[in-house]
Amino acid sequence: MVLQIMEPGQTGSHQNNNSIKAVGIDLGTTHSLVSIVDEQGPKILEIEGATIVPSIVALAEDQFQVGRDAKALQKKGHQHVAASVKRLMDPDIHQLKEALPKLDYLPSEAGEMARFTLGNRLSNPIEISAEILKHLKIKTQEILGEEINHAVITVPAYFSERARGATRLAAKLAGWKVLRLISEPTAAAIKFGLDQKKNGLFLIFDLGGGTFDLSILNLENNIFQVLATGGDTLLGGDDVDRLVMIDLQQRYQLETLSQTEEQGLLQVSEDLKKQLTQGEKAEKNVSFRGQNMSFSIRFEHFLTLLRPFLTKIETLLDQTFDAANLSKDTIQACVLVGGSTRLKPVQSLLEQYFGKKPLADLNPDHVVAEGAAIQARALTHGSDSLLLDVIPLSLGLETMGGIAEKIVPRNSPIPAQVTQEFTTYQDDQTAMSIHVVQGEREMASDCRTLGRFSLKGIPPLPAGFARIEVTFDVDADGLLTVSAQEKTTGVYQAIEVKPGHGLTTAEMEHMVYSGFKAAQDDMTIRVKEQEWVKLQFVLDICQKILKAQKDNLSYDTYHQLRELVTETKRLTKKDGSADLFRAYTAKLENYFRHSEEQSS
Amino acid sequence: MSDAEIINPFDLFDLPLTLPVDLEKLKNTYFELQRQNHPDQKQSLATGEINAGLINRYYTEMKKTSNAARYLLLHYGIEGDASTQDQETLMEVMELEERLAQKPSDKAGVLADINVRMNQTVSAFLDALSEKGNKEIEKDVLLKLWQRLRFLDQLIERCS
Repeated sequence: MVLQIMEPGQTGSHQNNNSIKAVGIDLGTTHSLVSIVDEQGPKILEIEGATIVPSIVALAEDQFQVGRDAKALQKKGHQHVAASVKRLMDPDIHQLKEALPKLDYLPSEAGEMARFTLGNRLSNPIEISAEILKHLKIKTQEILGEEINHAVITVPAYFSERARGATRLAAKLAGWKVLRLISEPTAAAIKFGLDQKKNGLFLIFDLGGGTFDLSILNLENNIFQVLATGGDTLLGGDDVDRLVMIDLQQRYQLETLSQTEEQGLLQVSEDLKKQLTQGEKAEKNVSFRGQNMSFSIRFEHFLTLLRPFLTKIETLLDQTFDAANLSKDTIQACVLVGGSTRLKPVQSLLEQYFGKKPLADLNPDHVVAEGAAIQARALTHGSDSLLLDVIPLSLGLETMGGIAEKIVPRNSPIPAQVTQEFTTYQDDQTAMSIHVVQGEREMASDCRTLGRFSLKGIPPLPAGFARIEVTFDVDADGLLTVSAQEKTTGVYQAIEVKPGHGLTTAEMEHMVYSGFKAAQDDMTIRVKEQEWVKLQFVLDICQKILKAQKDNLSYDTYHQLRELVTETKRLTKKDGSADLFRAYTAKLENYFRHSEEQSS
Repeated sequence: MSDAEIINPFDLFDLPLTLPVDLEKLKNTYFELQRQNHPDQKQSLATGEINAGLINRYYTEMKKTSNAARYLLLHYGIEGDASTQDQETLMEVMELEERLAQKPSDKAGVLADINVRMNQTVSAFLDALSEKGNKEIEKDVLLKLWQRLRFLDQLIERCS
């Protein structure tokens, strides 16, 4: 059989959206994962020999080390290490110092982002997150052997607008084109729903290393409708480690620990915790302060330590059901996601709470990344399923007397577009200041400030006559744009405000134009190199075919291929680009395949 | 009212012009509309004529009886607020509020009571709507009933 020979131009047209390869990234507090969907479904990429990459960045000898290497440096007590930065993606969060583990960051002004000292410069969480994402991009490309630019990235459902914006920026700096930010429990639900083909209401219980998320979803004929979310961005398995560590410190009388000792003891605590997922007692022998020590803990005691942690979880469950206006009895099943759901006390709590065993048949570490990969595939190739998400926290404006007026209440489906009319409260008032806030509290000062702007040029009118229409637009990523216009006089004046990330303009510029530019150039060179090597390989095969198969090829094919080979040989590595090399590889491969068919 | 509100959600969701809203039908049409208009859907470039954010807003609004009643009135060209406050309704709301405040444990009982009143009000509203003979008189009656539905909806929200 003779295959249709495609014109060189036609090959290009086949490179439509369907050929875009996109991955799903679970950007976790302690670990990150990358997944891609192939013919068999989603699979997790094995990076540096493991499916999970530590979300740790270190600076050593003026070079950023990420993942496994950074973790090794951290274990050795290396000074310049940044970990758990995900907890600091919202600039307001670091004010809650007691809730945070002792992270090595510098205190900063309210509303500004935290800073880490890495080498001789200060780095913010966005830059560090970008380093992790860049590392994941390079590794993904190495494994898949081609340039990969598109990704769906997951964030905690309870992540604020600012933290979402910060994540998007970090991804952009790392060279990713973000197809969509989706919530972690929703990603898990996509994988769960498609696997089990179930309909009904489900609670996704996602307890990770640093964050806790709850999502109530309605699964109906491949529609994933999020009804409500709740959680705590500062609660996770790390807190359990810390509770155990403090207990060990007391029981073994280990006052004042050095940073290295603390790291060591924290590691012991984590090991003990993991041992207690099976068995009644855990024990760990390590060398500590120059002597061999045996640390142990009984399950009963562990349970007592966890009491406040479990109470917090139960309260959040109640609150989420209340906010959703749903009873817990309507839930078909509670689905476990996140490594910390392996804790026995957490599973027992849920069994008690719902009166039935939670579903633990998914791999709690992989399911979020896999769900993200499925969504990435759906967004690039189309799909029967549809995801309808909500915003986790109310968005509003400060009105008279400092009251926060909610414009888009929490759990509203997104994208959301809401318009509300306001008026002036003084005669001849010509300007109005607009303060955009996020949160559930009654007073604006207790909510998070997302931005302030003023609408000028309001025509002078008696108090209460001006009609100022304020529109809140929340896109499918949960990112907000606010605009305002005065309507009485027909004078259209609109201002758009995009909430910031708690960084100064100078910092943003520095991030965008300096350090990262160089890193991206490096990556471009690397990909170009890979494509060049591939092209040379295919070119070599084609030349061999021309020689060996001359008599078996049709006249047309032979001459067309010879022409193409000559043309390809004229390309130089210096002047070409990765895209150009890839296009020629595709053209050559087409003839090559065709000639194989002909000669066989 | 903004220009975007030209579409009436009863038309958008293909709902019969009556109350209460068929929530199952509302949900199914909502899903169908989002399948065509949600920004995640690839084909939305071709068919996405209605803003997905607007569909979401109408969907949320239509789940509340008083909002649906307002859109029903708009369909018949009735707009505005009642010319006088209905004293009877105000007294009734105050009485219910008091009951809630005094006996928070009896929320379920109060809620059941409110629901009965809600159903009565909806019937009265539909009756008035079918007898729009004398437009001016009926308009005021309808607006008063709509206001009553609004109060009752607020109470239901506070109970749950």
